[in-house]
Amino acid sequence: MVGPSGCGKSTLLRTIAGLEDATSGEIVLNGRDVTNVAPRDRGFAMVFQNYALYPHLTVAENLGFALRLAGQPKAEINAAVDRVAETLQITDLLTKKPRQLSGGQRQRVAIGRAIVRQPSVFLFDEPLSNLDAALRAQMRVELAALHQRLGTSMIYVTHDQVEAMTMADRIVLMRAGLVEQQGTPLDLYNRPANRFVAGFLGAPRINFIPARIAAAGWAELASGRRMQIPAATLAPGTEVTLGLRPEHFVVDDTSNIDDSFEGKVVLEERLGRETVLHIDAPDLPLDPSEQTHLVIQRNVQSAFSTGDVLRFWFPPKRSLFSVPTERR
Amino acid sequence: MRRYHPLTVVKHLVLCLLSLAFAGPFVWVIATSLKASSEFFSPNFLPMDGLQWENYTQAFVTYGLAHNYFNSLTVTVAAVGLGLAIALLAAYGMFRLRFRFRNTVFVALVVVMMMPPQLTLISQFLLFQKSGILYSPLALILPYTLGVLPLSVFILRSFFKELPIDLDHAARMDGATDLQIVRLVLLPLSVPVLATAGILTFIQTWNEFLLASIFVRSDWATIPVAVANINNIATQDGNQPMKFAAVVLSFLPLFVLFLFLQRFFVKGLASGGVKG
Repeated sequence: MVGPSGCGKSTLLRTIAGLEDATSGEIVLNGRDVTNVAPRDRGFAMVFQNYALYPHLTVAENLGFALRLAGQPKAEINAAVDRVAETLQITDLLTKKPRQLSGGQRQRVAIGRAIVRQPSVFLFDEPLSNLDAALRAQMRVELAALHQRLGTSMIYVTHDQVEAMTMADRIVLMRAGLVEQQGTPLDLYNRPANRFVAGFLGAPRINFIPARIAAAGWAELASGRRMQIPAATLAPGTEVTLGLRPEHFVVDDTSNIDDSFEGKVVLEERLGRETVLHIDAPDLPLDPSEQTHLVIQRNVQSAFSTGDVLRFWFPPKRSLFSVPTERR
Repeated sequence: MRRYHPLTVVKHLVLCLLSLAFAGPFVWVIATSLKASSEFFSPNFLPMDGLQWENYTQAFVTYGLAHNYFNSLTVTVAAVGLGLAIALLAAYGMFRLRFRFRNTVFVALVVVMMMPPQLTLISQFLLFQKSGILYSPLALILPYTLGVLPLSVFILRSFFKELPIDLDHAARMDGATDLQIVRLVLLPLSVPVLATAGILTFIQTWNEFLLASIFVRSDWATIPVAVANINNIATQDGNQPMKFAAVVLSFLPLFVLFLFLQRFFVKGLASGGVKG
C-alpha cells in the first residue's frame, strides 16, 4: 500500500491488524469475516516503523515474547528463537538490549519477532523509513528474499514509490483515504487510472502537458503546435492533459520529424549511468501548477551541458492522457 | 594557586548560606535531641554533657513510638502500594486506551483532586462508622489510597504520553491482553516513574495528621499523632530533649527512604526500545 503521507494507508493497515476499529465495512481473511476478531486471534504479525521493541527485554526475550504469551514450553521457545536468529543473522545479539543495537539491527529484531510466530499474514508499517539509504536498499532485497522463502502474504505500507515498485506483486495506491488504483506495479505505471497515479509513480516525475483534442489521434498544445497521440474516442475540443514519461523522450539532433521540439538545457543532473535534463521548451508548454521545466531522462552519459539547445521528439504510442475528470 | 572568578566565589557563598538555612534546623533538632534535660535552655548549640541516647530509647520504648512505627508503616505501605497499583491501571485506561468520554474521566479526576480533605471528612466519618471500619486501620488505608492516586496518575500521565503507543500495539499483536500489557510491558518500564510517585506519596501519607487523629484510636495511632502526644507529655514532664528525639525518629524513615530511592530517579530504564 503506497500513497502520500496522511493518505490513510497506516490507518488501513492498523484496521487490518485490529488495532483500530472499522467504522464500516468488513475485513475478510480467507473467506472468514475477522472484522470483530481480537488482534491476537487474527494470526497476523506486524512490524512497526519505530520497531517498538520492548526496551526492558533482551533480543531473545523480545523474539520469544509472543510464544511466551501463548504458553509454549521454554525449550520450544528457545529453539524457535535460535532458528529465527540464525535466519536473520542476529544470533550474536540475542543477549543484548534494544538500546545497544543499531537501527538496522533493531529492524532485524523487529522482523524476527514477527517471523517467530509463523503468522498467516505479515503487516509492515513503513519498516525501512528510519534506515539510511544504503541499509534500506539492502533490507529491501532481504525482505523480498524472505518473502520468497516464507511464501507468506505480506502487506507492506510505504510512502516510497521505489519500495512499492520494486517489492510489490500488487500495489494499492491510496490518496485521501481512498484507493486510487490497484494492480501490478507495471500495470499502474503503464496504465495509470488517473493523473494522480501517473504523477505518483515514476522518478523523475512524469511531465504533464495541457492540450486539447484537435482531431482523432492529434492534440493541440497551448503553443499552437500539434502533437500525435494514441487514437481515442474523444470529441474534438475536449481539454486533456498529456502525460509524457521523462525516459520516453528521444533526443535526436539529426531527425527531421515534424513532431520534434527544440529546447534549451537549464539544468543537468548526472547520475552516472543516466542523465536527467531539465529543459526550457517554449513549444511544449507545461502545466505550470506542476513543474516549470520539461524533464527528460537519457540512459547515457549525456554530452549536453547547461545552455545547449537540443531537438527531441516523443513517440506517440507512449503518451498517456487524461481528461479533466481525472480518469484516464 | 588557582584563582577563582569573583562571580563563582559569590555564587558559592550564596549556596553555602542557603544550605545552612536548610540544614541548620535539622542539625539543631538532632543536636538538641541528644542534650540532657538540664541542658535544654543553655545557650550551647551542641550537647556538652555527653550524648543522651536514652532520649531515643525513652521515646521509642517508654512512650511506645515503636508501636506507632508499626502502625504508620502498615498504613503507609498498604496505601502507597495499593494506590500505585490502581494508579497504574487507571493511567493505562486513561492514557493508553481510546474510548468515549476519556477526557471527561480525566477532568473528573482533576476536580476530585482539588477537593480539600476537610470537605469530605464528615461524610467519610459517617460512611466508615456505618460500614463498621471506623477505628480500624482500613479507615486510614482507604482514604490514603485515594490520596495517592491523583499525584501518581499525573506523574504516570506524562510518562505514558512520551512512551510510544506502538509498544502496546506490538504487545497486543503478540497476543497480550490488557492486563498482560500492563504487567509485562508497562510495569517494568514504569519502575523509575513509580518510584518517584511512590516516594512523594509516601512522604505525604506518612505525614498525614488530620484523618489520623480522627479515624483511629490510640491503638492505631500513627507517628504524627504520637509525636503530638509526646509533645504534650514531654512538656508536662519537663523532658524537652526527648520531644526532639521523637521528632528525629518521625522523619528518619523518610530520610532513609529518600537516600535509598534517589538512584531510581537517574536511572532511565525506558530508552532505546524505539528509535530515539
